[in-house]
Amino acid sequence: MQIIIENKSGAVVLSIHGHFNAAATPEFERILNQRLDAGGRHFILNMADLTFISSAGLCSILASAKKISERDGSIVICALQGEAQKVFEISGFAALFSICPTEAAALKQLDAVCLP
Amino acid sequence: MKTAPSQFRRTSLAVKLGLMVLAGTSVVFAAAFLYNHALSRRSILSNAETNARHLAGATVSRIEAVLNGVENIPCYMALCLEQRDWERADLIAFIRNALVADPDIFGSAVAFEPYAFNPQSLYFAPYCCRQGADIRQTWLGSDQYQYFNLDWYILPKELNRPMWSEPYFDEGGGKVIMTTYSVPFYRMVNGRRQFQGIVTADIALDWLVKIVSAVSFLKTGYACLISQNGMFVTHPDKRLIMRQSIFDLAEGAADAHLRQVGQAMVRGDTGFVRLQSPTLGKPSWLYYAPLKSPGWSLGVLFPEDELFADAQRMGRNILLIGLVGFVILFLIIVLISAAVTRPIRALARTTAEIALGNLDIKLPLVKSRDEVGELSYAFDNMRVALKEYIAGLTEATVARERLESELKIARTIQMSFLPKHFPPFPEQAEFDLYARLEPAKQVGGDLYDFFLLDDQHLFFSIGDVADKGVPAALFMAVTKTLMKGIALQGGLDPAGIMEHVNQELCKENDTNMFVTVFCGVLNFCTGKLVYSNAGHNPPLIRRAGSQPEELPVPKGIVLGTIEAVRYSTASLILHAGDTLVLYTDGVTEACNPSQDLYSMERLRETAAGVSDQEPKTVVDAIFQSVNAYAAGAPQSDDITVLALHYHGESSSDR
Repeated sequence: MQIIIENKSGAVVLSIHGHFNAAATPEFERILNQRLDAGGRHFILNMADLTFISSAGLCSILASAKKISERDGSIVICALQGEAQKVFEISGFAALFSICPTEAAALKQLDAVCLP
Repeated sequence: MKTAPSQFRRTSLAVKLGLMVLAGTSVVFAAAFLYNHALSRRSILSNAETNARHLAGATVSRIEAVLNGVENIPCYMALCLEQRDWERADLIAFIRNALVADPDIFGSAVAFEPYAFNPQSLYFAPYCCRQGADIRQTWLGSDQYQYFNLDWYILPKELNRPMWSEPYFDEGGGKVIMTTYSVPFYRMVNGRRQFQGIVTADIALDWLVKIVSAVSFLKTGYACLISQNGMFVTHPDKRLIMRQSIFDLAEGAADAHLRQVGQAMVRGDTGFVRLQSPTLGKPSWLYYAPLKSPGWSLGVLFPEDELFADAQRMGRNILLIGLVGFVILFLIIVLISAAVTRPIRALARTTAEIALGNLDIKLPLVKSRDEVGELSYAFDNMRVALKEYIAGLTEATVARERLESELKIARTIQMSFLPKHFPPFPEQAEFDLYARLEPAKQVGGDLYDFFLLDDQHLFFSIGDVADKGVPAALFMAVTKTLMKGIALQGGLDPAGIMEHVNQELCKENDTNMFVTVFCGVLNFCTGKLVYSNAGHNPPLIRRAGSQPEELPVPKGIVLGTIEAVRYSTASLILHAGDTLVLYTDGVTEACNPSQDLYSMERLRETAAGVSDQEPKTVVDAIFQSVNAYAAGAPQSDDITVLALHYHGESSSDR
């Protein structure tokens, strides 16, 4: 797995590439915690290049989402497709999170939420 | 544990160092010694040549002084004889006076050509020689002694010049070894210079022997004189005198070099040569120089060993001093090296202890700040680091063992909760059921369960806790217990069961664990199946005679995340020969060595490929396929498969 980190208009965009399985969760959590500690509050997970997500990956995202909401932040998942999208739907995670079709839509949604 | 090889101890560093330094010094010493030796030999030889030359020169001068003195007399006499006619008595007195004038002259004769002095007399040669203190006069010439046929007479006559004869033992006159200087004299006859006779002066060789014998060189070196024929005129060995020539010696010793030297001497050359002396019997050096007028040669011969005796003694002494010096040097080096290597040896002993595992041993204190001190310091650091490392390693091993035992516990918990008795309901002919769970090394939280709710209803479920190890195993145990408890309390509605279980799981759930569950209730009398899904992979259904398909499942979120969530129930009718295959994501997400997923498609193909719908056969086929696909790649998650085959409502039909 590879995670590309970008800052776009106040949001931390994490683009996740490859397999998001148990082996990849420590890296994901490390990066997310680091960004949280650095003051990041609004996160977008861009799943455009996610090839596969396991239950451990879902668990990791759930744990991170809880942490973010504890700090009054928000998380939006975007660009889900293929197997990953199916996993989100089957597991019901699609209902748990804000899901947007594109990153632009996710940014827009965050803007709407975060506008003073 | 290895022990130090014994050959390492055989030569210590100190001795090795000593030997190496000694070897180096020896080479330098040997080079200097040989150079010095060669140089001194050359210088000694050159000095010896100079000395021999001076000595020979002086001797030659002395001899020549005598000879020249002797030569003057007959020359003067010849001159006088040419001036006028002589009376017999005058002539004898003249000869006698010559002997008186020069005491070196032993005898003198004036030998005339046959009939030249007296036409009646064939012989006319008055001869005076010393006899004791007197001078005796005799006449030369007889039938036995025809002097005009002898060398001393003929050679100067033919060559028209005065000359010295070969030394000879005089029989006619003095009865001693002598040599004769012969001077031809002439008379003007009819305007022509006509040969008249020979004036001679004999000298005895005893004085010559004395002069030459007085010459000594080194210890046994001597001088000798050879005649123009190579005959020994003087020699320390009296037997050689007048009996042997240098060529005889060369012949006797078969020494070509000596012959060449003899030739050079006879030729009147000067030289300094090395030769094997037959008289001294060892390698010797010879300096030779000519006596010009008689054509003789003086040789100064001395043995080589005497020449170089001093140099050799000096060389021996230097070698001895060098040897003693080397021994002392060696001892000093060994002592110094021993002092230097003492800490190293102590260190080596200590490290041997360390090698045996005693890491608490104190290293010997090295105060010096040199390399040895550094080594000791570094070694102590290493010992401490090693000790810490071993302690860390021990701790890690303990931790790993603890973890492994925890995993074992987790596996035990997980497996102990699962029904493992197959076939589970042998009295129920309406269906067959088989399930298998293969835990991963780290143990995921997979679960399956089945039990009869009453005499018509079978409850079955499959689930996957999204975590690993003991927590997952406990969470799985809780989920399974809750589910069974709630289901047995009269729940025929799977969605209701899910909601209840979810509520219970969400209470006090501080962890982020959740569980995906698929559960169903089959009325095996009617074939009606009701089921609900909480985020689990949809099972496969294979209708009799068809390909396997994904079972459409109602949407439902995983259990344990949000408390107040509604789940839905779906239903369908199973017909005889239909098979349900429930599985966890451990199947579809099994990876091969290149990290490719087993995938849903492969599962469907594998399920389709099994002709026999016996649940155990189906389950085992799937496991076999997954294992073959993984090809040894580590199993990262639990793999669980549950297969349910429906035979139909009436057992009597079968």
